[in-house]
Amino acid sequence: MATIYGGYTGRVLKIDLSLKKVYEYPFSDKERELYIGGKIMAAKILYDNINEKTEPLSPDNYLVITTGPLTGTGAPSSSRFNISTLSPLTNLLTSSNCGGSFGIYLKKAGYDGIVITGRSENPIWIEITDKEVQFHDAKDIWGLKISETQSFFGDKCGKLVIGPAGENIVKYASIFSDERAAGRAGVGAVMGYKNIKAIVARGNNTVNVHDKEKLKNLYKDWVKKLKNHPITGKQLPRLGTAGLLSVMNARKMLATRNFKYGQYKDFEKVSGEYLAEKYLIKNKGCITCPIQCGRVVEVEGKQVKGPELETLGLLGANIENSSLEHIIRWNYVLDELGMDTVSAGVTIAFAMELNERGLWDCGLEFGKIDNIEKTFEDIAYRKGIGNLLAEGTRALSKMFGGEEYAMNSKGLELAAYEPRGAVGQGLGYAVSNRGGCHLNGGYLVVLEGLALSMDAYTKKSKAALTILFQNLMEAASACGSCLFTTYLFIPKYLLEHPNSFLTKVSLWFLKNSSPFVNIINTLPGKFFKFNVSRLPHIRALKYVTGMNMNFGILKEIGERGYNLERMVNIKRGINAKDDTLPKRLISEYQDSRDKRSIVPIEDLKKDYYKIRGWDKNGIPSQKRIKRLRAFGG
Amino acid sequence: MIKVRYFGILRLDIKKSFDEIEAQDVEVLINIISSKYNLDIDELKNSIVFVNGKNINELKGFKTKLYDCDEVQIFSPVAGG
Repeated sequence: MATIYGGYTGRVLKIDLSLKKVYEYPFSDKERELYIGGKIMAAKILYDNINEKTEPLSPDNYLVITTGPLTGTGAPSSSRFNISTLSPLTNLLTSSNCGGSFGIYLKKAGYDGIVITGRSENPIWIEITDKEVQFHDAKDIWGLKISETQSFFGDKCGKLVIGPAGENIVKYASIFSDERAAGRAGVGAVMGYKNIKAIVARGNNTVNVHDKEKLKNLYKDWVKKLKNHPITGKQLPRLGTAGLLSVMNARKMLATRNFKYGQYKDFEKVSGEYLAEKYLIKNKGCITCPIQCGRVVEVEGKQVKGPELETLGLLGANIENSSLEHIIRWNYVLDELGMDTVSAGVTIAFAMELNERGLWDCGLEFGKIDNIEKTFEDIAYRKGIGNLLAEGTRALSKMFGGEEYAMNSKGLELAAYEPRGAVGQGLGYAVSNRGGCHLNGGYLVVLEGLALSMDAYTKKSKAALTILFQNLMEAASACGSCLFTTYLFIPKYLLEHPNSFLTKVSLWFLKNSSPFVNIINTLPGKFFKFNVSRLPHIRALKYVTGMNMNFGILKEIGERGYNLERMVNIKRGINAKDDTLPKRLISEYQDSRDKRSIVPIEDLKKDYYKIRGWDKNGIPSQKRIKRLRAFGG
Repeated sequence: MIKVRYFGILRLDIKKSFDEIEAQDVEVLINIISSKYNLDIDELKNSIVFVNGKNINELKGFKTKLYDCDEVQIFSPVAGG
């Protein structure tokens, strides 16, 4: 289906694995205007094709891989693509924004996205070129780890692969593009269930853009902005995401001992600073990204990807392990097996607490690290206790008890931020469409201590700001951009002058900003027909696609996407009771002397639903859905 | 003596993670560190400073008094702003 818009190839590939047939999935220009691409485009495809009975691990589930219009146009930090499906871990919609080069190669092959349904009888790999789509027997690569599988295909192509964890349908198996992972909620298990070991894309297709000259200048300016911004130009290149761990500890928001505490006595030994001093070889990043936030370290004589913040926190503080050397090694092992380090870390911490309380004699103990690597191998191959751990935290709590400290929301394990030290982040975890995810939750912890220091414990304005951030990040992701590009939204001055009077006044304003933020959150986009230079995505979309674009349209695209994903989940049966956190976080104080160190989830949710235009059951009102044209029309 | 711990880019720049320094308040401490490592005082004053786990903005700012064995954590801005 051709398109009048730049940035798109205009074609979406549909593959029916059961029939081994390929088609073009119809996606119109009207739909491109409403859903842009990436996770929002995928949400529309899932909404149209799955129902309340669709089992995540069944031929009827859809695996939807989509790029954004900026992917492949040279936009900074925008080589991203998205993978959405029904998650075997949550039984709900999940989406995963992934880096690496696959998205760019998919467009070179001539496609904006791939929609996969059915199931192959035998393991296969799929080759997509600008000439044809071929199915190949995967018997020679089935069983291989991630890097071995990637090596099989050589260079000059995009490779999307699973490892043994995906093959064995570990509920939190990942899919890899280069060293980057579509990590969370078991997208790799769905690919494994469908018997796809790899998808390889290549070709010579080029992406047309609407206004090449203006785009060139904009991209130059965008790169300059990213390089001059203190987070994307200094902090992330120098220390990576790992550099946030120390400040999380200082702010009492570092998940420790299965989220019992917010601080870890040995945090320095697993910090980003220690990583940079002792193990960092160089930094690295995705194609077209000036940030280069990735860490390169050495394992077994090979230069490999170093651990991110989440991994350091969850395989460090959260299991009371102070050996960074072991975390680096486990990060490599988990990546090679093709498994999410976040869910793996939270799941073993939960098992440790179950063991400590005498509920499950599994041999895992806080601070004991000699059996961890073997446990990860056992999870990937579903051996012994690994077969149970492979089911994730929520499933384990159903088997052994301990629901109140099974650290998940809607079945997805929480990230490394202890939300009793950042209650807005707690709200985000609880309402996030994909479950306990910090990013899909709105990442309010950035304002509550990581970058700025607004009052982390107040309920004031947290719902309003969460919604604003969720919507903008949803839209940025759909463009094909890395979420780190949205850091430009935070003024440089506030970051560089944390003790100044102006910053203190700004933080006070932020705390009391809900009436103003809610004007943006609740009024239709047509009232905001202006550009915002802190969001270069707006003009980039305009120059790439040729669509009419302004702040109002962009924020409405994000809101439409967030609500559409919610409607997929409503179809799957969720309601307000699912938007919650484990009891430990909402009924036990992190610090018994501080009565604010708890997530006041019900109050926060009430505000959140009201602003979102959702009823008390958490269901979007017909009026809001109609205004947003969430289903099209 | 005050136990001083450095974090963030500051720590990478001065190549030091820990110091023991004698100072009566945070202002004096910052001045000493500025001289010791030849750091611009205005830039150093943009650091995030915690005294015994509390941000100095919740205490008395740079006038916060320090006592023997107090622990001061200094973060580059951005890391914790």
